[in-house]
Amino acid sequence: MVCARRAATAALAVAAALCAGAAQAQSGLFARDTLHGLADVRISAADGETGWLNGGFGKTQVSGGGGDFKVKPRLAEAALEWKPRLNFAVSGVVTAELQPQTRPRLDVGEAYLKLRAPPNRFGRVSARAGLMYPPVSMEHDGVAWTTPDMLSASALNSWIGEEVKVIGAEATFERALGGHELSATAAVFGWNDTSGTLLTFRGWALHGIKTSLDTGFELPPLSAFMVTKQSRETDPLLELDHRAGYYGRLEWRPPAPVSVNALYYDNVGDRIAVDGEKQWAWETRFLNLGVRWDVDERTKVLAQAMNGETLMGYRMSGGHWVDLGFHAAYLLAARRYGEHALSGRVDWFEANDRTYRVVDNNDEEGWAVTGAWRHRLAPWADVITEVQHVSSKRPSRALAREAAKQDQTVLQAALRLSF
Amino acid sequence: MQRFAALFAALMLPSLAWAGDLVVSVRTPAGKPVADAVVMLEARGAAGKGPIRFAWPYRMAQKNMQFAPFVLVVPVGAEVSFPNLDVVLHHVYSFSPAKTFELKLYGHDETRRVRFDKPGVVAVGCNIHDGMAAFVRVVDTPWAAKTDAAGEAIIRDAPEGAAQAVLWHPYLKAARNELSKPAPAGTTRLTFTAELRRPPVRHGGY
Repeated sequence: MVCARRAATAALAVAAALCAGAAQAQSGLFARDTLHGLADVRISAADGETGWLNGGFGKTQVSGGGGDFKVKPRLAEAALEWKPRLNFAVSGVVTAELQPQTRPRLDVGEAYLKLRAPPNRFGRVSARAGLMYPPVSMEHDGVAWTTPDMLSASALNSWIGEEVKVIGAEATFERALGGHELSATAAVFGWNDTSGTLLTFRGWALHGIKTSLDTGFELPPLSAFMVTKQSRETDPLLELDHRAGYYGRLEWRPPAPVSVNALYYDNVGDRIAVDGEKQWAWETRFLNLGVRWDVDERTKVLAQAMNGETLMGYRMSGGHWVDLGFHAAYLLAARRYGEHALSGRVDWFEANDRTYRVVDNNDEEGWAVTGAWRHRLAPWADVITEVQHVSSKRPSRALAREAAKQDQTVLQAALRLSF
Repeated sequence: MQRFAALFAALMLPSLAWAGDLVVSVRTPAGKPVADAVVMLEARGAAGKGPIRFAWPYRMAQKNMQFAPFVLVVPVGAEVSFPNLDVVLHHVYSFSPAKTFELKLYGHDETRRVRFDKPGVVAVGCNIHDGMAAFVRVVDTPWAAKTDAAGEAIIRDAPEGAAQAVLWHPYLKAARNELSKPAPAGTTRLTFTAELRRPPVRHGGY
């Protein structure tokens, strides 16, 4: 909690910096385009297992009713995004998130300063600093880091939403060479030490949940081997080992409707740093590759693939307490038809536990197919209907007295209001 | 009635070709009209009368988060206005060698002016909105025009002798985004086939 408070202090410092600039730049602070918001009211029905947000191993944000479909109307999310502009080059982003399924319900999502000067003949420099998501997801380009056309993100980016949020500083250099545009990003960060915990003990999931400044996620039942070592809750934004992590990213936009990017992330965690609440620093690193192809003006194809590993705890004769390889990929195609948009996505994911599988097996493999239809009723109102099927095999479900192999079908319809 | 006739004439005038005009038609290989292509005539020895002036306004507005027009043709030395018709702030800039400028943040119904003193292509952007892009083509010939939605451009009072016709479009698949072909003396109609690249991916987000 001390560390969570430290994280809060850092984010408040960003907010204070924004306010400090306020005096000089009244016009850009509260202008009409600086405030955006979103509310998502949803009905969901699912069969299958209990969801991970309700203490189970379920892979979606909806719990099944034990074989029967059940319907629950609820507010899935509301968010406010404030993007004040201090001057021509400096702006800020602050989002307030209300997510009834997380604790706390109301929290700060992102809070960072952004510098972006006009380019000169050498190229263009931009920077961000504060509480933010590293630039991994190609799906979350909506208001307040949402997916505009679908209700659930891919397994890969859902994990980013949960466990890969940092407080740090990032610089990007962009340059055009011939008809090619290249950009290189480097960042240092802290407060992302527990990244990998949820991915190890729960596995991959597909949803629209985002971690916020003080969010704690309850873990599903732990093995007897881990239950004495690891807290039952993981707090994704914690600094425990006082080591800086880093990420680097390259993007290439050739003179064609295609862009390609690669990001490498390493939180340089000290695996044996732990606080009094049994929150551990995990050593987590991954490589993410992304491709976007704008097939025509109405059709786009996105694909991402990730390969990573996460380690935690002391090294004993059998290796580290946790040593897990994780891999995920998705392929998404979306096409607009006037006021309608159809999206389809195929997900594949797996995790390989490399140590102590006899007493703590965190292996997993699975796939998901998702189809979504967005209908724009008005510029401020969309109805999104999504059907999803997730199939996965996870031996640790035995800890919840569930079969290792589980299938779940989820139907959701949301009214999304935004401004 | 007379007023109506005058109005009718005024409306029809720009799309009617008169003797001495050169009509240039630009189409893709698939036969679709190409809008916003600039046609320029280079005629050796011929010169226009007095300073170069075009009939259209030297103006590039920001409206609905877009520049309008997307391509603007102006003569060397022209002063172009950049009115902001949006309710949000814009920050217009270019780092093109033909004209480097920056119009720092300005708001609704405000305008700024820039003089373009060198011929060439000036790519214009907005530092706040990455999706906004436009081009000013600064020319030193009096015989220049831009294709309309039907892919046609009319060059008024084209030189009588032989000339070279140059076609430019920001996304033309050709070296320097240009094609050229001879326009022999007395030519009244010219056709270009132009293949366009898809515009670059504009990314928002991070």
